[in-house]
Amino acid sequence: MALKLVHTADWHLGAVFPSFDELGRQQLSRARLSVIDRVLGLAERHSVHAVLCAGDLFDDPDPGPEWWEGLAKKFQQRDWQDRPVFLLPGNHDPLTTTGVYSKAHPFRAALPAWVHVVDRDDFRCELAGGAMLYAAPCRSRSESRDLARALLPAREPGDRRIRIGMVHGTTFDLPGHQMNFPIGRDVAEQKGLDYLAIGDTHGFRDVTPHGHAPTVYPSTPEPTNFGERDAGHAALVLFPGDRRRRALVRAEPVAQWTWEEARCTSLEELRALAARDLGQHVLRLVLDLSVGVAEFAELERILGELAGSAAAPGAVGVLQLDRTRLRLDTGDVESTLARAPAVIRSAAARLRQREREYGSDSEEGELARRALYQLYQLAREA
Amino acid sequence: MRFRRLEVSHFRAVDHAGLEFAPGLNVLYGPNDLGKTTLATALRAALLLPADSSAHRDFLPWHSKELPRVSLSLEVDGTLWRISKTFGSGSQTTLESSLDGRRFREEARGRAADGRLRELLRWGVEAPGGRGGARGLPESFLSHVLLATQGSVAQILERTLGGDRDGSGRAQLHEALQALAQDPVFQRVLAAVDAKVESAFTATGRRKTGQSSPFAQLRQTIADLGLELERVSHLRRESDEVQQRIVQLSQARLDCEARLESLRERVGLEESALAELAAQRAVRERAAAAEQALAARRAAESDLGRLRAELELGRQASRRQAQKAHESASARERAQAEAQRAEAALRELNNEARRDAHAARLADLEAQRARLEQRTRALSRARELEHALVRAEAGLATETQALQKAQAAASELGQRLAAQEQILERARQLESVARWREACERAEQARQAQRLAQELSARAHAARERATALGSAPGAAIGSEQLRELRELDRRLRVARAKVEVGLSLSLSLPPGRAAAIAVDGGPARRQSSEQRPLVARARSQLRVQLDDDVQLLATAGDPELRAEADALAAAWADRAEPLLAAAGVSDIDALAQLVEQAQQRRREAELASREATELEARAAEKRAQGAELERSQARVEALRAALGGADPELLARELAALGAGWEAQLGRRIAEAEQEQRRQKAAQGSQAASLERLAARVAGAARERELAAAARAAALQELGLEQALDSARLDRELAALERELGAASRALAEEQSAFRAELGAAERARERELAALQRAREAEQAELGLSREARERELSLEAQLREREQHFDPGSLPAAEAEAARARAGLAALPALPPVSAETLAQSRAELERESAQLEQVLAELRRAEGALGQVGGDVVAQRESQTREALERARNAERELEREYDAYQLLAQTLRGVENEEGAHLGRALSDPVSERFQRLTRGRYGRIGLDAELGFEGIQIAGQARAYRELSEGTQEQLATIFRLCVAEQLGAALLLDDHLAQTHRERIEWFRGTLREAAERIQILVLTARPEDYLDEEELEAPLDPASRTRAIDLERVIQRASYTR
Repeated sequence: MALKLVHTADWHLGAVFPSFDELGRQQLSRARLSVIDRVLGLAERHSVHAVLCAGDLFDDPDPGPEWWEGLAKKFQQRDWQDRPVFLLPGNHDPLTTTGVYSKAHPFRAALPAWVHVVDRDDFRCELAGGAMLYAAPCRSRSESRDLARALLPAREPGDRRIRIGMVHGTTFDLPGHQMNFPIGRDVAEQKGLDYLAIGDTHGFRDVTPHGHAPTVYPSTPEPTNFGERDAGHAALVLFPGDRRRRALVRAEPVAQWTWEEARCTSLEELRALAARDLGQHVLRLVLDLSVGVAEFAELERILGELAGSAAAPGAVGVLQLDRTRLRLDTGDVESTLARAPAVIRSAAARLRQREREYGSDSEEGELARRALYQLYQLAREA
Repeated sequence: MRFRRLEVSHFRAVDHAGLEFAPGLNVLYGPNDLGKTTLATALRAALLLPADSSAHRDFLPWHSKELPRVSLSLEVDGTLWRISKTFGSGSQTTLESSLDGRRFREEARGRAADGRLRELLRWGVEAPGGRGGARGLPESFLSHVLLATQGSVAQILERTLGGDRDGSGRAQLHEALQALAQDPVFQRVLAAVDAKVESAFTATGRRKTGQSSPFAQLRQTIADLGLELERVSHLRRESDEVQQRIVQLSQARLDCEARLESLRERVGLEESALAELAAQRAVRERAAAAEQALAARRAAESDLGRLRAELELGRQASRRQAQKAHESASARERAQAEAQRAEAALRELNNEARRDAHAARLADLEAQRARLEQRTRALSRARELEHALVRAEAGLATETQALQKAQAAASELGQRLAAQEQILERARQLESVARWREACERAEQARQAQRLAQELSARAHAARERATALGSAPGAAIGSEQLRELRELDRRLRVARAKVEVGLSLSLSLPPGRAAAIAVDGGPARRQSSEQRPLVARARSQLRVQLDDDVQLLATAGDPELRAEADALAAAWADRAEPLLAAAGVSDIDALAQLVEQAQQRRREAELASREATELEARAAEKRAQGAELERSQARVEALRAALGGADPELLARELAALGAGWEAQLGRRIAEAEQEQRRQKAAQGSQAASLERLAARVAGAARERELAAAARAAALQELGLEQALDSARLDRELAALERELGAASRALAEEQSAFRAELGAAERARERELAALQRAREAEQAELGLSREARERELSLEAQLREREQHFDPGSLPAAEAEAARARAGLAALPALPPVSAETLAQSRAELERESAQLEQVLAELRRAEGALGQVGGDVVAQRESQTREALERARNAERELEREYDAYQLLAQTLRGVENEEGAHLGRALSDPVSERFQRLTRGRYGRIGLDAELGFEGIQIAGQARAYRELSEGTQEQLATIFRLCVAEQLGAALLLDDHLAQTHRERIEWFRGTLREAAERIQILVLTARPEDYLDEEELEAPLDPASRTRAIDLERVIQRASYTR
């Protein structure tokens, strides 16, 4: 093997997750930073020669100090004199005069000497075995220029070194992204590159599977949303000794969290879901079922166990619950309140009557159903 | 709750009043119109009305500008509170509390004070400042029941708890009546539901919006997310716009570049076409030259023929023109002779002698006309002066008449003024009499106050002595804390002693005849001897045995440390307790405690007596102060009597009495009207005097004008030589004759001038005509001569041209020119066809090319700017953020809807539970129905059955002869009795004070008696304030006249003594 690399991108340090509750937001935001250890650990395990970080490492060009200090600390904990790390500004964290990658920013001062920031359009660096890295940073949030085509140099005749390019952007096949730093699929071949490390898309993807030079999205190491396919990896890149052979690229899983969407249409399905180990899951649970008053108590109990409480963590790592399709069937409420005082039973009958009068699909009917359930719960507790 | 003290100042007709209330029945009595209802209103205002309410206008004092003020002390759950309010502009409200009844600490101010008071009372009156609340005095079921106004029977019997905007009144009644005690499960469920509802909804059922609301956090989240979404959406829109702009600019750039390419191609084509066109132009020029040469040859040949024909024609014309010139010269000579004849005729007319005669005639006529004109002007002036004199005399007569009228009006006004003065004087006398009578009453009040002050001073002195006597009781010096410490010391000493008193037993065998002195537990030693059996001694803690003088045995029980502790406590007891016991003459701590309690009781009594003495002294001082006004009042009486002068006060008083109750207002009105009328008339008088002066001046002016006009007329007549007696008609006739004469002279002058001018004009016109004819003949002659010369010159010119052409014309060159032209035509036919290009079109194309290049540069610059802007606003990044924020907002809104439904369901559950409770469970009405029914049956001796009350304490009906009937079917008197019983029962259940303001106005004596007993019995438990004009309905005569007894539960308050009414001052 002539050269081994870890290629990663789209860390999005400092990203917030506004559709989650406070605890979920904290867990998911913290996971952005903790996954870096696993990425760097991958590099250590495979004794790679360099780590390429292809943009969007921060969610914002000027992140809070807790994020850049946390990242710098992770680098400071290592002594990688022979394993340089290259940080590339992306469209989320472009290179600006005052941003985190600017030379005056304390983040730069906190980085060890072997961590390099791509802060020039003609950035180049020699890697182990004489291989060359060429990279160009994003300088704004959006641009229609193909940075690889515009800024990376073409192979000179007689140059037999391994040539690696690194830019951040979107390959042309994504409609509507022509303004988001487009990258031509043929640019790696055109520039005589042996590998083009790119970042932006959150799923692992080799854009040119049949060409000589792989053009690869390594995916975000920790997913950021539901529905991100093949997210949660870093790319391990192995260059064969014979430069004419194509580099080998392997997706290595590094994520802590598995994002999953589940829909339960019956209590049985919910019971089965609750029986699974979901401790490392970010679960969006849609309850699309109808339950009786007596069953409702069990449903609430299961949901309570899944979500956890102030006193105990839930069975699901991070739970996002959608109850808008949950329907309460109050048909059995009168029988469940058979032993309650007469005045309670009368109130239940009156609410049941109200539900029937307004219709179960109406808002008033829904209120009556809920009130019935509340009455059932309170009477049981009393 | 009970009232302790009420102080009112500047409140309607009450200038000041201060009342102390007994804990039981308080009968506040006084005649009608004294201010009883005002006091009740002040009490309600103190409890319920915010001081800044506009309703305070009803409280404004009638006769001063002071602000109404009320201060009410009341006891709620053992704590004394004082609410003080000053109404109107600069309103103030303070709520204070006191532990000892003397020192008050401020608890709240302004609306907070009202809010706190309402929390204390719990009457169902909502907190002040809420939206949608009723204006004026806020009311609730309980405020109505406990403080009802006079004659509000229907409101009491019809108002229910359902009308309350706040639930505190209901809650208090629930607590008092224990209406929900029937089912604990139901109670717990309802309490839990109420807690949920109260946490989320206001008393009026609206969702709470404050920080404590369960919706607050989600609402804040939604608001924050909404703002964030707005921000990122704005950025995204900007980004989209910029992207759209970039797409447009890119298209524009492509279009520009295509046009540019096309233009460049066009310019190239045009440049080559232009070069080809230049070559073709040379060929055409050569062909044109050959054709031109051929045409020139042919033209020259043709010209020669034409010139010859023209020369012949020119010669014939020259001859004709010479003949015409000769004829013209003859005609000119004839015209010249005619002109000479006309000139001679004109000279004859302009002869000098004829002109002089004509001028002399004209001068005579002119002089005659000037004289006539001068006399006419003088006569006109005289006639105008005559007219001015007539006008001046008429003006003088008019002004004189106006002056006489104004003098008559001034005289009439003076008479009316005198009449108003009399009316005013009478009204002031009546007012003085009223003030004199009022001063007499005040003087009498001051005398009474002096007497009362003496009496109160004596009572204060007695109370002070009683306090002094009660304050020197034995044990008074020992406080509760000290007693508690002694009890603790006693307890600890007894415990310590018990710990060491574990018991001792000593068996001692002594030789016969020997004895030992044994002391048990510190007691005295007793000698004992041992006979056959050993001597046995027992003690609790100590045994001391003296065998001989030199042998002593001391046995002590218990641990030494415990003994030391017991000894120390015993020493402390001896040091601290025993002197006090000795001083108090008692033997143990219980006796001492009893003594201390008695002393404290006496001290409390002393304090009460002292407080009473202080109050009596204060009242005495107040009365003395009132009495001190006696001298002033008497002096005022004398002064007012003197001010009446000789008027008969009795007669005036009768007249005043005839005015009735509203005499004050009537007199005020009468005086004000009279003064106003007097002011108006005086103003009119002043105005009339000025008018008279102006009229007199105008009469004098008119007289002066008449004199001047007469003098001028006389001078004018004298100047004309006419007699002075000429009247206006004769002057007019003279003037008309003169004007006719002047007209005739002017006409003669004009006719003379006209005739001369006509003759002269005719001669001049004839001469001009002949001269013109001569000129025309000369011009015709000259023209014909000119034409003749031109014809001759043309003839000569044609001859010269012909000669010159004939010399230059070569008849053999025409075939060569025809051959050259044929060759040129063949060359032209061989030229290729070219587009219509010119240097101008090429220049235009080049300019267009430059413009297009500049436009492309502009598009590129805009594109670069747009791309730069997109890099700043966000592009894909901001679209992602917008999507995330929108999703989060949607989720938060869903969560909010869920939460709202959850709490709406709790609200519905609460309503349902209450509905069921009202229908099926026990309710307030049932709890209160028994006592109300029982009392009402007793009052009516069983005539009526059970009173039905619903859950909201509304009247459902009364059982009469087995049928439920509405209360309205009762007589008015019975209705007011039922209302009073109902109010009394509610107040009893709440332990609250009850205000009865002339509540039994239509009740028969027999039932009044029943109420007297019932109220007195109820007043043993609650405080009742009765406002009445008939105190004997509630109290015995002795009670009415008894001195104030602070310890009594019943008090009669003579309002005539405590209410100081405002006096009328202007």
